[in-house]
Amino acid sequence: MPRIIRIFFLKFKEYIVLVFLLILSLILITTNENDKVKNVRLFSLGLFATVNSTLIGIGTFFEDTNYIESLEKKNAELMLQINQLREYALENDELNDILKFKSETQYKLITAKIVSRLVSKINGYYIINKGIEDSVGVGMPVITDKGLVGIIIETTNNYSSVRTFENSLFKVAIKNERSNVDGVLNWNGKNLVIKNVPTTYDVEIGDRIIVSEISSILPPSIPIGIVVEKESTLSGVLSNLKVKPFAQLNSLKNVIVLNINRNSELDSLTNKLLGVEK
Amino acid sequence: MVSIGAIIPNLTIILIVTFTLKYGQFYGTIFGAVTGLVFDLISGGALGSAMFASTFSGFITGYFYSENKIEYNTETMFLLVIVFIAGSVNSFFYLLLTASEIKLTASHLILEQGILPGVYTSLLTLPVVLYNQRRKES
Repeated sequence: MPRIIRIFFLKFKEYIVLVFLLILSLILITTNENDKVKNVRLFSLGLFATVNSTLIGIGTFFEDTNYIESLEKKNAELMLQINQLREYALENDELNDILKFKSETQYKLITAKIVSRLVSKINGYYIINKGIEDSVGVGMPVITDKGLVGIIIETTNNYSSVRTFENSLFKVAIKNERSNVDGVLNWNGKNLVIKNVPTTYDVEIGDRIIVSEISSILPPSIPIGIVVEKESTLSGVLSNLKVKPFAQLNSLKNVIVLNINRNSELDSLTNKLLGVEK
Repeated sequence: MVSIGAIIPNLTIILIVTFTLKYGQFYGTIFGAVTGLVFDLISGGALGSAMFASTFSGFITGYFYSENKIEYNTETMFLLVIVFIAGSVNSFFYLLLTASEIKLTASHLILEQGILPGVYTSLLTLPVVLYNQRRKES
């Protein structure tokens, strides 16, 4: 009997190994949310990021990175201010009075260097060289001086993983800055799109798209992109909008993390509305 | 790596194909799985997705393995054909497993996310083949 098994294994070893490894990989896919698997991923992510940042450090030894980082931070601060001013210009005085508290809100900006990037156009991820020790937390937005880049999804002590907007899992509540039309922006593998916007809504080519106040993850008014194409669906009742992002992910070297303090009262109210007790 | 539009080459495939053509289907399949797993671990993507795709690519490449044709397979333009096939298979399965949120059409899945990345990756193999040929001549 063992001889038969041995012969069988030798004859079909390639197929047996293939089936075993494919099943193993499918099991791994289903256990991605498991805490132990997450820990392994965070450890390997940290290890890889350390090696990678050391290599990058050697390559940029003669560059004045601190100066570049401070300039990029300043640019991001100016971008946020400009955008806020732009929004004020579009709103009436009464709304300005109501939203006055926004001008007093100061976000803490954390500059970070991209140490690794997954170049997939379907699932874009970055690893940046700032982590828990730099006050970076899960859910914080990542921006450049041009606009939104992504969101922090995992953190280790010194590194963080960023889900960029070029990722099929990326979704954000947005609004048209001019007409205040709301929608949900996501990545379809090629472009940023806002799907199923009624054709009767006031949206024009060239309109600026920013993060909406109704976004529960990102702070409002972060610029995202500009509407470049409007395509009606088959029914003609709805249209899909193609958005060209302001931030160009391919050429990025440094990014900025917005250290936002979540509003616990708002979270509590939201949780109550959703029926979630914490 | 430089992308052309949404098309991105996969350099790990060149490694998997070369290894498999030298050591055979059995070891190539295992090597593909290990390479894919490492890629999953360091990329931040879903664990197991690249492993699945790379395992399959290593297995498919194994059909081109022949003890008597190792030099021919790895040092001639035929390597480009094998990399193209393995690369297309890899991209196809990787997208299939990771893009659950995207509505995929058959043409998008096969052409843009399968064949075109395969062509791009195989073109990047060209310098390797030319280098091997020149080294052999000298």
